[in-house]
Amino acid sequence: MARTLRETLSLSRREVMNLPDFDWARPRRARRWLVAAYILLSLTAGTVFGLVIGFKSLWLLAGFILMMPVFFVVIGSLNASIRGVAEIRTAELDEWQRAKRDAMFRACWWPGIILLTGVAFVAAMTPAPVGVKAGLPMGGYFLALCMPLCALAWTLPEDPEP
Amino acid sequence: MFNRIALLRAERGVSRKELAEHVGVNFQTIGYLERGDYSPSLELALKIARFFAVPVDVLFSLEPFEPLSAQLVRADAASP
Repeated sequence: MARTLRETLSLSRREVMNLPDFDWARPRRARRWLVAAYILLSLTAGTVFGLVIGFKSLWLLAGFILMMPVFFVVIGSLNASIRGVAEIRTAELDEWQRAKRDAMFRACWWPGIILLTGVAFVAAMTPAPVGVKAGLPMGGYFLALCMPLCALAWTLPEDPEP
Repeated sequence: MFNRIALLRAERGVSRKELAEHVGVNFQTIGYLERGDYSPSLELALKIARFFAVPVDVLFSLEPFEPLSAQLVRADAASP
């Protein structure tokens, strides 16, 4: 039965993340496609941002801003694909979910820092055009931002039958 | 850690979802427990044992459980 917008908004975050509407995103194959889409989107956003700075074009800036709703959809789908393990409140997760989330955030801590520091260092030190210097950290920022989410979506096993 | 959750669940005709609701976890967690992908906390192990009304060591073991068929053969041989 279809839910109204009011009914959907009244659901808790945990209930929303477990809705059958997102079953299409939950098989591992679909989750990995979403991760690939996010990485591609991050690299594209970094490139477009670099072009915005390099060419000082308002059209490119509009293109960059228009990418934000796409980020919203892809990140939302990634979150729903792992039933919100990376983002819902700890009290609403069970012990297996907490263990997986904590392990992945620990595993992504140093790679995230190294990625961000690395792109910032390269951008600062290389005699590249200003667009490249701006685009590289932006792309790196988007990649680091959702690294634990992407790693969870990539690695979590298939759901068992209910 | 080894467990007999799947066996007891099948014996009692309980779905993963029903068991999960009773012990306060997601049904996926029950599936991963059954597969041996995850070892439960003491609290969860006790809750599952209480749900099936069996001692916790009937349900969980550090060594593999003897196959049911072997237990039946042994019980059959022991009976007069």
